[in-house]
Amino acid sequence: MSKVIQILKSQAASCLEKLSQCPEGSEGITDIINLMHVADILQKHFELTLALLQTDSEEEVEPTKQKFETIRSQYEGIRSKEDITIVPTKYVVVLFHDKLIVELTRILKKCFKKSWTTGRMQLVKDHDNIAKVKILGGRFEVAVQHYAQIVCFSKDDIFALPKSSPIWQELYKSTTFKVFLLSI
Amino acid sequence: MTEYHHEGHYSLGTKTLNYDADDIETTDLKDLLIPSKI
Repeated sequence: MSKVIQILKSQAASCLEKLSQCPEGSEGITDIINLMHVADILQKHFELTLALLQTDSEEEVEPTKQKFETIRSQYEGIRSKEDITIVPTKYVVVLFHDKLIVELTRILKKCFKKSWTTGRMQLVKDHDNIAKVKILGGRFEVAVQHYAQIVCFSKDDIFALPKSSPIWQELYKSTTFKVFLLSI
Repeated sequence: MTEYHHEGHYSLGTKTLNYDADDIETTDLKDLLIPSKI
């Protein structure tokens, strides 16, 4: 998972460098710095989740959490790896990977466009895409803030059950779900 | 059944995961999180 986060951070760093050299002002710089910070936090969450899944006993859980001091308090409900609610966590990891991170990286690549100014080619800001970074970056931040709650989600909830469970199978007989995942 | 609709596609050159609910549910969470995998 960290590969896509690294690509996002690398693209953000490249964009930040161009923004800092741009004579048009500081629009977007704060958003991209914040985005890189949030990407770091998400990476820590994923590393902690993986480390917890790799523990062999309950005694290993607390020392594992202690290695992630800045986020460990969000995982107080996890006493053993069996406390991790697998199904919704898988969905949210895939959402981060296939949707949020990919979309953010795509927009970061489009924050500048080439323009002929005073007889020479130079990079200028694409204000629409810089605004999209702010919007999507906000969604990304909120999603990261709630990630630990998904990992610690109640196992009694219907959304913690796999779709093959009898409850979902019974619902599927009479219901059609339509999920719209919109791009900006 | 669940119908997933999402606009467009963009690849980072890494393996794309899948929105299909069955694929997600049969995949090991550890496999999704191991950095070298994707």
